[in-house]
Amino acid sequence: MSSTPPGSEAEVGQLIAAYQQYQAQAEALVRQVSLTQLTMEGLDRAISAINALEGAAEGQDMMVPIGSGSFVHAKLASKEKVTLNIGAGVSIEKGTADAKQMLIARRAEVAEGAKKLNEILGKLDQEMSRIQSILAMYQEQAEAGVSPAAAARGAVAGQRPGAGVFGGQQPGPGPIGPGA
Amino acid sequence: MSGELPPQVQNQLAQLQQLQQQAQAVMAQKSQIDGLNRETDAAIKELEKTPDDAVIYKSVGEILIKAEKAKLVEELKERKDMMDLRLKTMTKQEERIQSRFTQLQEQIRNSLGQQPPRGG
Repeated sequence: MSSTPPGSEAEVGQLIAAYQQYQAQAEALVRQVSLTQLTMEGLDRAISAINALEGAAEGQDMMVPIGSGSFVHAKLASKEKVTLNIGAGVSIEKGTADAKQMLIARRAEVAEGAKKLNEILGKLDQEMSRIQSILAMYQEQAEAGVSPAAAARGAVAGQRPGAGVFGGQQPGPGPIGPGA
Repeated sequence: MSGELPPQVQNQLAQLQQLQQQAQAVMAQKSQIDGLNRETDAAIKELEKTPDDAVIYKSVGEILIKAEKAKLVEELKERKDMMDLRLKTMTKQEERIQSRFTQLQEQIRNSLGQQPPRGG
């Protein structure tokens, strides 16, 4: 990772900084993955509702959610139209089939995004394990005497994020950047 | 450990931490605006693909109000221009913080380099 001698205090410091930066990136990614999962669940609910509409009759009694698990009575005025949110506070009325197709496409996009995020997470995890094993090796080597590696293990176990001023935007400490 | 450092270095380290916090705040804001910008862009594209007579609603609080496509597209474009401007300002701010951070890091490195070696 640099020209610093292996096992030196400087190298151990660099490894810890890299580890902490990867960890901060991993934590941010985990948050993003859970958000994408929530989005997918919402899309699944919308698709199921449209599927249910296909079998419903116009004028059928319904319960419409008003939040907090509360409902009001309603009648299905049209099962031919669905109004879809397209973001930025805009919604467009679509035919039921079109709306369903759009939601399915959106779900596929979100799933693809989640897959990519998980791949990056996997790489970060590998890199963090690699650093941990190097630090463990230094610790074993140093157990006979006093070495910075011993302190290093403790610092990594402390797991404090944030290595560079712009974290992920800084040139990454290893082969994995945020855009990987 | 910081108790062993000269007050000047301690002060510089505190500044460094402050800069890091500022950087994080700017980054968070920037990524939020960036997300909104992309969302607005996607909405404009979707609206442009939609026929002129399509039924379109704009959300105001919890309710949806019927809107005209042309007016809405114009409104979204204005909003996007404003966000682009804010993003530019933030990028400059980010660059300023980054350069100050590097400068301060260098100063700390120099100050520590000049420090007499610690015993033990």
